[in-house]
Amino acid sequence: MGSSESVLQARGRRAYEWGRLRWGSKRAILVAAVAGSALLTCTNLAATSGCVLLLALLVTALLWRGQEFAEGVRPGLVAGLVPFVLPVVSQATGYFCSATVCLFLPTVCVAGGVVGGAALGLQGRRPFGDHLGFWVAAVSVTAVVGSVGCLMAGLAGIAGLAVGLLLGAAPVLVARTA
Amino acid sequence: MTALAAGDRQAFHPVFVSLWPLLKAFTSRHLPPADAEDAAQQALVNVMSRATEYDPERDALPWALGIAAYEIRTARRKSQRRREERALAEDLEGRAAAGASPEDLALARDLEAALEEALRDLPESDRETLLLHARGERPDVAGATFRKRVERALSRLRGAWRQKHGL
Repeated sequence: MGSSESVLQARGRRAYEWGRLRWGSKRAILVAAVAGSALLTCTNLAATSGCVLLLALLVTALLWRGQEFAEGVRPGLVAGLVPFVLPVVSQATGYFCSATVCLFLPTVCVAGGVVGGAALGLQGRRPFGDHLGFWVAAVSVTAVVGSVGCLMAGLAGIAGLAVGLLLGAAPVLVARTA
Repeated sequence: MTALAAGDRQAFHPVFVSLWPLLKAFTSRHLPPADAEDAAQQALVNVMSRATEYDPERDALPWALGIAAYEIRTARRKSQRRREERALAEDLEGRAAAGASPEDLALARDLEAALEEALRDLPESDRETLLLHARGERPDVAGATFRKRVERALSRLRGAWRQKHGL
């Protein structure tokens, strides 16, 4: 390949990578906008904003990376929806909550995590379901999406989410491999 | 192309190697050599930039050639604009050079440059109208219609001139 074609190839590669980044970030902005609805009911604005930003960056990076990593984003978002929505709705409706704290929230996060974990386990039938990158992406997206909601319950909520995810995913994954 | 769209970087080189000659051949058939290479390069860069948006349901080659066709149209429009500007410049130069002093020539050149700058801000249709009017030609439209077009184009040129030179 001549030097001018090498230069053109380099230009092409740069255009490709920038194109992937633009494509990924457009989708990440949509995800962040939806997740940002938690800011309306959250008790810790800074931490929740940080979590939403982390989610946007994570989704951008995974979509940019592509292949099994990009494939894991949608299952992660779907699985993270329940642990995200439950605490937000609990806080918004004030059910079992006082003005500043929701003692019910950590339990809600565990329950949401169980549902999310089970949903994650079932997603494994997708293409790339046997790839480690798929699971890394799906689990991390689920955890961050769920955290946006469960941050309202503080560390107890996050820990509840993690426990719930494990409790939900483990039986499904064991049943699949058996 | 499908693999490249999914993020498989290993697919980049094979796609480049197969697509580049095809894009060059396509643009060469529709543009002069000087413009064909530039258009082909820009088309390739645009194809790679949009590779992630490629729909695997579609054929890759027609999709890529569609992007190349857009670059061919762009190159033709630029070439047409260059020809129009050159014709206008030659016209002004000719008129200014007839029995003019060096100062007059310098003034005429400055005026020409300022006029070119103002013309660049106008839409293509306005430039075409003014060029035809300057040549004393008229397109195949009614006289009143063409006069109206000239009037509007001159009004927009005056606006652009005032904006740039404050006169």
